[in-house]
Amino acid sequence: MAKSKFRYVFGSPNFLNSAKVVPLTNVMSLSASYIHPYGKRLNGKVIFMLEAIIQGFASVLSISVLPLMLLGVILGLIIGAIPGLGGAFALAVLIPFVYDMEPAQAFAFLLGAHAVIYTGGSITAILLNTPGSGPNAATLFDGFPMAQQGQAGRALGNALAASAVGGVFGAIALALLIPVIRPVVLAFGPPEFFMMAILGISFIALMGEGSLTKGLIAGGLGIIISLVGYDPMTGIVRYNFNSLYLYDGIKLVPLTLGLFAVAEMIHLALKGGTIAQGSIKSSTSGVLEGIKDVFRHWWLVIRCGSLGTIIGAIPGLGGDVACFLAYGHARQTSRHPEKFGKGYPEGVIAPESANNAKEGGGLLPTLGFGIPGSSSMAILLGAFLIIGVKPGPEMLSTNLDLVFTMVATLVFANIIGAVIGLLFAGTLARITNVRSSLLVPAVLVLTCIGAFAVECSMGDVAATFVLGIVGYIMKIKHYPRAVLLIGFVLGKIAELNLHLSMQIFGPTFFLRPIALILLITIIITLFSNQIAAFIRARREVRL
Amino acid sequence: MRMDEGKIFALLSALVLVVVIILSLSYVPKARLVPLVVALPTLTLTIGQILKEFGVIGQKKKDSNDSKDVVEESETNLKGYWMILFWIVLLIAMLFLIGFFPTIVLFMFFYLKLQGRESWLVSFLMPGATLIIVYLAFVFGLNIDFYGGLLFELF
Repeated sequence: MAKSKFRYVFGSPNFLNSAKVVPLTNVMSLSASYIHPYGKRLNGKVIFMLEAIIQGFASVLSISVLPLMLLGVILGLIIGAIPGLGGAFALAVLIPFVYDMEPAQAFAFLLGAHAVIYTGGSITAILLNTPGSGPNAATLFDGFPMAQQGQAGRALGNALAASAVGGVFGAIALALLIPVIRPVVLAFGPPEFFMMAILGISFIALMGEGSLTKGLIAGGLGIIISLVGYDPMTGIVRYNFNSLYLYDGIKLVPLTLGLFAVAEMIHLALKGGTIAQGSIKSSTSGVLEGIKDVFRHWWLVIRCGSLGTIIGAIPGLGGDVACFLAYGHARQTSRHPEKFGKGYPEGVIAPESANNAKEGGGLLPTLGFGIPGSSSMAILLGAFLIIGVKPGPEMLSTNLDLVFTMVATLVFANIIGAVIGLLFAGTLARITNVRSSLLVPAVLVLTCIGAFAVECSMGDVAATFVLGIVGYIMKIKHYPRAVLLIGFVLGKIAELNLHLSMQIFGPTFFLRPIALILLITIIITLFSNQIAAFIRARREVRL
Repeated sequence: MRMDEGKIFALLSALVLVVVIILSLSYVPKARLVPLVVALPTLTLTIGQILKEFGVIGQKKKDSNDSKDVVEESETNLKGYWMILFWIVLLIAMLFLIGFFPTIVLFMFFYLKLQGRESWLVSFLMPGATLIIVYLAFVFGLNIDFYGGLLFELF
């Protein structure tokens, strides 16, 4: 049954029959033309798809839906910009408002908010070294140094334009891939997840700020921190020292807020002055330059957008992995890898295009099979049921117009979110020129609120400040905090999937085709410098 | 006298890793595999770093970070450290004792007035404005129930 539903796009003989169940509006008057006397079904299918596309886009632009999407976008930008809160929080908070809405209205509202969460989060990441949520963490590495160099406007231009383009890319990918995503998703299992996590961790070797030893120590500590708490494979609680708080392990939000936001505020309080060390480059021209950068690096945006879409589509990996892999990929393929981490636009463009593209990818398994790709998508799945829409293969035949409403929402929300952000980017960039005596107490209070609000836990607040002190020492002694964060995010994923792979496939799990390709990529990544040196030496010998 | 944060961090890291390794040995093989695989090489590297920090092996690196170190010398003075540590401890203690809203007002006011030496107007206005924004956004908008504080919950 499910198979036949998936086939309709490619030419199920019952295509026209199945199409009849789709409610068509007057906008779809085109439909009359496709039932040709000779029954040219290929044209029919194309027109059927076109109908659904037009219906989806028209529905989003209708007067009853557009204002709700705009409201969702504004709320999403605000929630995204608040440190610690993320997409799952936004959806959880907004779901009660959709009970009485029509499906198109509800999804425009919810997806509008969710699509721009990371767009909002990039603003605080760049200006205050405080990521809105986990997937914005990789934006810190180059975004904040740019702000310190007085290029906050350019960094915001980079982030917002890359978010918009990445988001639109993800939406287009959703539209194109939804009928064919099943084999791709099913091709990924624990061995591939493990290899992807190890690939991310292997970027640690490339990311040391000068000292590889310090980078490896930080990465190792990050992995160890991620292993604190309950181990689902064995049922053992590790390294919790009988603390109830540590039973669940250390969470990403306190770790990120502590390592970056609190550490930065301690540094600023001790140093005095402002975040921007020197004059701020004209904000408007900086923003425009940032937008131009994105189009100048269009190939990087497409590559990282694809990476984000694929990772988003694979249930269990999550957006944090997408942004770190995109960052590592950008650094590895850049002509100037040495500039990464010091305020380089490519380091902002790559993670931002990946984390917004991941939204389209995340919707693929959610809509296609009813399997949520992330915690946010699980909440969205709840919204589907509240509204009375059943996700899964049949959605592609019975609610195709709704699928394209979601695609259209992602397209418009990303563009509108970026435009709103860009309108205020020049003004926002001036935050980096606010004196520390005003900024420090405000950010510390905001950090407390962000740390508490996610799980209403005072333990998270305390952990944030303890980790903040650790982060400050790491900062001044040049231990790369980014590497610790990568180790933390990927350590647990790697361990869990290693055990699952060993259990399911045995010790030769890495010989599965995709796992093997990833293993080769890991080896190339680890030895990229040596390989490059070898190739250079060979060339010189020939000359 | 000046603290050497590098030495402290390396020593603390080594201590944490030793504890992790000792605790790991008491777990079942599956639970200790990854921790040991990660902790043992990390500990080796950390011991190498400690030896470097104490000048036992190699030359303590003096490179492009030299100029930054000069800035660090001045900014990481003990007085500054204790002062910022005091403010952080005060913030956490206030949050636990009197809850979020009184802390937002009192902490910001005292920080702005005593540490930042801001004017009375700024010291009053900023905490007030922050309180209103936080209340509207989080309590009214997002329906978050903030911790009320140990003192207020007791009485």
